[in-house]
Amino acid sequence: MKSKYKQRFFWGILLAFIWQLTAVSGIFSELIFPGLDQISIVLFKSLQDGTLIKQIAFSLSVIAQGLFLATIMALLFALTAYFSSTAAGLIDTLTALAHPLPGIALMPLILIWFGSGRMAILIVIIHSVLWPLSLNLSTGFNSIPDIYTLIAKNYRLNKFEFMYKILIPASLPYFISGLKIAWARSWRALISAEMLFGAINSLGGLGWYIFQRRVFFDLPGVFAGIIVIIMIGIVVEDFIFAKLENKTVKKWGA
Amino acid sequence: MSSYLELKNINKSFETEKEKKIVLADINLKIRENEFLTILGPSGCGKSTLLKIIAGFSKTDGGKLLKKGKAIKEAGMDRLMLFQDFEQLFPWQKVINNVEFAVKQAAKNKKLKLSSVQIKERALKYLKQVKLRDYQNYYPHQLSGGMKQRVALARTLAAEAEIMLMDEPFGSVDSQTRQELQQLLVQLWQEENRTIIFVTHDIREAVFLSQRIVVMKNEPGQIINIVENKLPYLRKRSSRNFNHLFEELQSQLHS
Repeated sequence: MKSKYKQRFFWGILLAFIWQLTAVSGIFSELIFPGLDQISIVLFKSLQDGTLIKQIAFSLSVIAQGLFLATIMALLFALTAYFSSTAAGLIDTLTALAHPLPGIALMPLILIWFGSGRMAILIVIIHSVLWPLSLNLSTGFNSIPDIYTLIAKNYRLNKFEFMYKILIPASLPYFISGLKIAWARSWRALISAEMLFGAINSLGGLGWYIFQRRVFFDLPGVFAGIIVIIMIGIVVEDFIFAKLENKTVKKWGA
Repeated sequence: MSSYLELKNINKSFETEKEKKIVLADINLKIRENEFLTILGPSGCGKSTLLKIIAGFSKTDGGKLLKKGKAIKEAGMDRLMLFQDFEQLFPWQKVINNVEFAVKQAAKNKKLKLSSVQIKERALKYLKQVKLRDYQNYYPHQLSGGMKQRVALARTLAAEAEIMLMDEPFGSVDSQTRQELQQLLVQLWQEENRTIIFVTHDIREAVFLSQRIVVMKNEPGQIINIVENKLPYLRKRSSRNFNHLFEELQSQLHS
């Protein structure tokens, strides 16, 4: 674990060094290939004056809301499908139709139906998360050992008790891996949706921020936005999910 | 005279694509209250299926299961199953919580209100009986197979069921541990009044544990004999009478 970060640090420094050398060498114009010094100045400035922080907060709050809603919907879908085979057929059909459809393909339609506000972004996020997550949850529910269902029968658990005492904890590994996929997909969907849908009152999220910097041909600004996006991705995957796994499935011996 | 638990003309078959396979043919058996009964037979004789029918997990094709004269139709906490599978414990719960699960469900079933302290006390009592009190805060994956089965035994005990159904619960542990567990089970059964129906293919296990041994054969699964085992507890595996009974059962199983 430790050595993974050491390696990353080493290669990161090396790549940054090469980047900087290329920038200073003057092979490319400073306008299209800014040095790290310029990028960091812009990054710190826009973090300091709050313009970037505002966009980060916007993006994170939309994605949190979207993930939350989609998780609840996916849970409802998967549970309904687990307990009713009729519903399972319907949900399976819906998933089969919607799952292969990239969120970005829906954007023109969403633009017409819902306009371009926060709602539209939320719908794109929910679409990109709901299907893989409910698919994963269903797989998790259907792969719990038979012995648990026998125990539930034997100890007279009602459906509700069975659900929260056995079904959900037993399928938590699937739930977490589903959440990881959900996060990765929704994070991508969010950034592209923000670019397309633009901003209301200059608040359009990180995707919008990058897009706008490009319009002003402010490449250090574009890179500053990209760095923030990378950082958030790393923090979520390496820290938040890792912590969640350590506290649950790892502790249980998975 | 109506007995405690009665199996009347139980039949069971499974249909495969090619043929209908009869698993149990006309099983009749009367089980006494608080007795320790083993069902002994070769693999494929339907002894586990029979236990599942008693548990209410499996339906019969015909015949009746009666408890004190009343027909039993579904699973219940009066007949608790202890499985062979190590995975019967919930890996997401600590040992103590696994046992508390049974205490809580039993209380709920009897419409009893217990405080969390009372629940823990009861769970600890049974963990102590299986000598795992010190392991209460371990997770199942941190335990050996034999310890897992002891926790599962504690969980089954903690539900305070009248009847305990055991489907070769010690079948997957090493022989040293198996003997310890057998001894523990006999002790616990002597301390508290319970009926135990124990399925095994191990003749020595049956002779060591039970008061009566139901001998089954396969194809189709039928009872061929019921042997009373009057050897005094705790039984010595090396004694002449023990081995005499062992040989008698062995010749019946291979006839």
